Amino acid sequence: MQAYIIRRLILVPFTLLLISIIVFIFMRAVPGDAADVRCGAAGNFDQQCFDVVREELGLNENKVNQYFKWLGDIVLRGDFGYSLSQVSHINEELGKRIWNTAQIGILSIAFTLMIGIPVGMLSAVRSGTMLDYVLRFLAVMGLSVPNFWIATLVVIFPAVWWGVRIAPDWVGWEEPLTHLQILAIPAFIIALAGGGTIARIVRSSMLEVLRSDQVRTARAKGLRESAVVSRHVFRPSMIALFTIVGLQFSLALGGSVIMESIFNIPGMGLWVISAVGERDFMIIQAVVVIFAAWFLLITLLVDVAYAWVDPRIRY
Amino acid sequence: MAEGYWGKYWRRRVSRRRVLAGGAAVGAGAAALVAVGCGDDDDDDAAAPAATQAARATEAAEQAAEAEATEAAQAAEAEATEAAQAAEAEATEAADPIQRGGTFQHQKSAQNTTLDPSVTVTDPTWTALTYNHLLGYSLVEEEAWGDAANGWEQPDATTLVFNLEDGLKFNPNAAGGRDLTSEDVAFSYSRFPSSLSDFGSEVNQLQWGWMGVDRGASFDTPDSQTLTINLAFPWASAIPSLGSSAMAIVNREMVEAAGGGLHEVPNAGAGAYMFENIDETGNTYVRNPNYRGHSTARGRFTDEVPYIDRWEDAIIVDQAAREARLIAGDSDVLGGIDKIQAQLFDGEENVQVIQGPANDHAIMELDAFKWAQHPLLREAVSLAIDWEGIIDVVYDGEGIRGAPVGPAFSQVLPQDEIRELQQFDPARARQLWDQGGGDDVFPDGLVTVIPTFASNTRLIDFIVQSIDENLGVPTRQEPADLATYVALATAPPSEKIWHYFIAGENSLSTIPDYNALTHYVPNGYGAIFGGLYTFDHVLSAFYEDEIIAVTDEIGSELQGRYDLQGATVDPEERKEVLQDMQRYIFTNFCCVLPLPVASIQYYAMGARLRNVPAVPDIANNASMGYRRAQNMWIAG
Repeated sequence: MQAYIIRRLILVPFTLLLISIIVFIFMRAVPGDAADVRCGAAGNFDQQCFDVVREELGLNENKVNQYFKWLGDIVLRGDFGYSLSQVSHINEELGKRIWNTAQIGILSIAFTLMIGIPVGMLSAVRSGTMLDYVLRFLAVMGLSVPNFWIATLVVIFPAVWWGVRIAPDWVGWEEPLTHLQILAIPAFIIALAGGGTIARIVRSSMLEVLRSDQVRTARAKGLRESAVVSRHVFRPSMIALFTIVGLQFSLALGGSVIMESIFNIPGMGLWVISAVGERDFMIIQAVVVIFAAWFLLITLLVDVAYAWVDPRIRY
Repeated sequence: MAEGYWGKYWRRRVSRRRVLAGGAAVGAGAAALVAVGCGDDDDDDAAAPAATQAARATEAAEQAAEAEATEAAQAAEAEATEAAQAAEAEATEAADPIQRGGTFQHQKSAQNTTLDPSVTVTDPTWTALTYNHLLGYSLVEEEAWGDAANGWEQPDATTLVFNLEDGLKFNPNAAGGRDLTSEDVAFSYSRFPSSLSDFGSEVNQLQWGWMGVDRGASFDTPDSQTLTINLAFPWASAIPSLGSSAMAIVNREMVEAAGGGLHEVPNAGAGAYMFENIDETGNTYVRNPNYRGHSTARGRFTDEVPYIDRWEDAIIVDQAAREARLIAGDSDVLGGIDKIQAQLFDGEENVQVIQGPANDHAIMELDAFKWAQHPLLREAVSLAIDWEGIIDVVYDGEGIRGAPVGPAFSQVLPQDEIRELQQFDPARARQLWDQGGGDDVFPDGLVTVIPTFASNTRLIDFIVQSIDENLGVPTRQEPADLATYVALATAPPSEKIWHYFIAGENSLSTIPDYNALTHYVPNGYGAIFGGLYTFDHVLSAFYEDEIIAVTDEIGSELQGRYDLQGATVDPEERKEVLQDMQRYIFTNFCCVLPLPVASIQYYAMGARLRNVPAVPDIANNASMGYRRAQNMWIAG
C-alpha cells in the first residue's frame, strides 16, 4: 500500500506538468488575447494600443520563454503571477476566492449525501413499490436536468411571481445567516445531480446485499427489519459510495463554476468565467492547475480509502 | 514532546466497521435533516408598493408601441409620446414633489480594469459620477449643456473659448480639494497621446484625435477660469465631442504623484460623488462635499447638488440575476431591452420601461480587400438583401432604414431616399453576380463571423438566408467570443478569414454625431476593421503596396469626404456634405452597407425613479444619460 501511495505521489507532479503544458498551448492556440479584449472591447483598434498592452503583459515574448517563466515562478516561489486583465496578483485573489468556492463544495457534498443516502435507502427497502418509482424518477430528474437551468429558474421565478429574491447579494461571514443562505442555494442545486447519482448507487448496492445470504440469515435469526437494514445491509453498501463521493468533490468544483456566475459568488468559478472571456491566460492556467491538483489529490485519497475500507482490494 | 490535543485522534486506529457505521449514522442523520430542514427561511421584505406613475408611463408606452404603421405615423407617434411624457413628467412633478436623498442601486457585469478616464471608457458610471466634464451633450435636444463650463464661444473654425463655473473645487482627497482651474482642463486633454503610448489606452483616438493634441493643437489659459482650445484643424463636432466620458477633468498633482496614470487612484476629480469603496463585489459612491450646483440650471444639471445621495454599483455577472434584482426592486436599472422583454415587464410594479426613438447603427462590413475590385458583386449582395424584410422580421415592424449618420441627427438622409438608393431586387442581384463572375471569385461561398457575445443573431441569420436564397451563395458561420472576434476582425487585410460580418454597434453613444460614419472610412474603423487601407494610413507601411493598392482609391475618396464634413463647420453646409457622402456610400457599396435598425428603444429602470432622462439620452455616454441626470430623484 505504501509503495502504491508513493508511486501515485510521484506521478502527481508529472501529471500536473502535462496539464500545465496542455492548458498553456491550448489557450494560446485560440485566436485573440488579452490585448484584443482590452483594446478592442473599448473600441480602440489602434495598433499602438495592441502593441503597448502586449508589451506590458509580456505577450510579445517567445511562447516557450513565457511558459518556463510561468512554471518557474510557480515551482520556485509558488507564485502564479499577475492577472492580465484585472491587474491583480493571482495569489492574493486566490486566497480570497478559494475559500468561497470550497464552502460551496463542502456544502454541496453535505447536501449530496443528505439527499442521496436517504433516497437510495428508501428506494431499496421499498423496492418495486410506488415510492420506489417516485424516488427513482426524482433521482433521474436530478441527474438529467442541467443545474444551470434550475439555478436560473430559482433566481428569476421568485422575483417574477412574488417580487422577491431568494438569493441575496454576496456578504461574508460578518452576516453568517445571510452568508449561509447565499451559499446553501447553489450548493443544494449542485447537490441535486450528485444526490441522484448517489441515490441510484446506494439503491443498487443495497438491493445486491438485500438478496445475499447474510441478510437471509439475519432475518432467519429473527432480527427486526430495521436492524437488518442498518447493520447488515447499509454498512456493506457504503463501500461503493466511497468512489462516487470522491468524484462528487470534483464535480462540485466544476458545478461551482456556473453556480458562482448565476448567484454572483466571488469564488474561483466566477473568476475563471470572467477570465475566459477576457483571455486572461494567467488566471485560467492557475485555476486549471489548482483544480487539477485538487482532483488528483481527491482521486488518490479515494483510492487509498477504498482499499482501506474494503479488505478485498489490494494494490 | 507532549502529545497535542488532536494527536490522540490522529493516532487512534479507526476500524473499517466504525467508519461504515459512522457513514450509516451520517445517512440517518441526513435523512432527519432533510425532513426538518426544508422550511422556508426566506424573510425578504415584500416588494415595494405599486407606483401609479410608472403604471401610467408603461401604459402610455404600450399605446405608443402599438400605433406604429407607416414612417409618418411613427414620427407623429414619437412626437406624441414625447409630448405625453413631457406632460406626464410635469404632472408628476406637480403632484409628486421632488424628494432628496436615497441610494441609486446600479448594477454592472464586471469591475473596472483601471480608474484612469484617459485609459478606459468601458464603464461610464464612475467617470460620470466622480469626474466632471466641460459639458454634456443631449441627443434628444441636439444641444450641449454646460457642466464645468458655464459658457463658450467659437470665434473661428479652430478656436473654442470656454468660461468655467465659479468656485469649482476638486474633492477633498484630490490635492486638498483645491480649486479646479482651466489649466487642469488643458492638462486633462493633453494626456491622451501619452496615455496611449505609455499605457495602451483603450480610448479610441476618434474620441480625442479631433483636437489634434498630437498634431499642433494648443491650449491657452489666460486666467484660471478661461480656457482656449486651438484646434489643429477645424472639427465640426467639437462641442458634442467634449461631452464624451473620456473628456473627464482630472487633478494634475494626483496624476503626477501616481507616475502619470491613475490606474489604481480613485477620487482624482471634481464630480458630484466620490468613491467610498471598491472591491470584488462592486463600488459605492458618496457625495463629494466640495461639489456645488451649477450657476444656472441647464438640461440635466441643477443649481444645487444632485438629488440622490448615494450610488451603489453591484457587480452582477448573470443577466437573469440582474433582471431578478430589478423586478424585486433591488436594482434601479437593467438597461436596454427588446420589445418582448418590455412586454414581459409590463405590470411589474418595480419596473418602468422608458421608450423612445432609438439612435442605433448597424452595418454589414465587407472585407474591402476581397470586394474592392468587384463592384458588381458588391452591388449584387446589396440587391439580394430584403431590407424591408429585416424591418418586418428582425425588428417586428419597429424598424427604419439605417444610414451612415445616426437616425437621431438632422443630417441623416430621408427614409424615402434611402429606400430608393438601397433596393431589394433578387433577379438583378443574380444577374450582376453572374456578370461579375461571383461563383469564380468566391468558389467556396462566403464566410461570416458570429459574435457569441452579441444579441443580433436574428439579423445575421436573416442576411445569411437572404444571400443564400437570392444569390444562391451559401455562407459558413464561424462563432467567436469577444477576443476571437476582435482578432479575426482586425487580422491583416489579406489574412481575414471572413467575407463579411454583421455588427450592431453602440459607439454612437460614445461620440455623438459622427461616430457611425467612422465605420465607412479608413482612418476610422474602416481600415483596421474592414481592410479599407490607403497609402496615407498610419499602418500602410506594414503591408505590401500591392495589398494597399487594392483599396487605396475608394478608401481615399471616402476619407476625403469624411475629412471635408469634419472641416465644414457651418451646419447647413455640413448637412449637404454629409448627405452627399451618404449617397456616395449607398451607391458604391464599398465596403460597409448600412443595415436597418430599430426605430424604438426600450430601457428598463426602477419604478421608484422620477424624472428619468428620455431615450436615447438615457444611456448615452456623451450626455451620460441617467448617470449624469442630477435632477433625477427617488420617490418613496
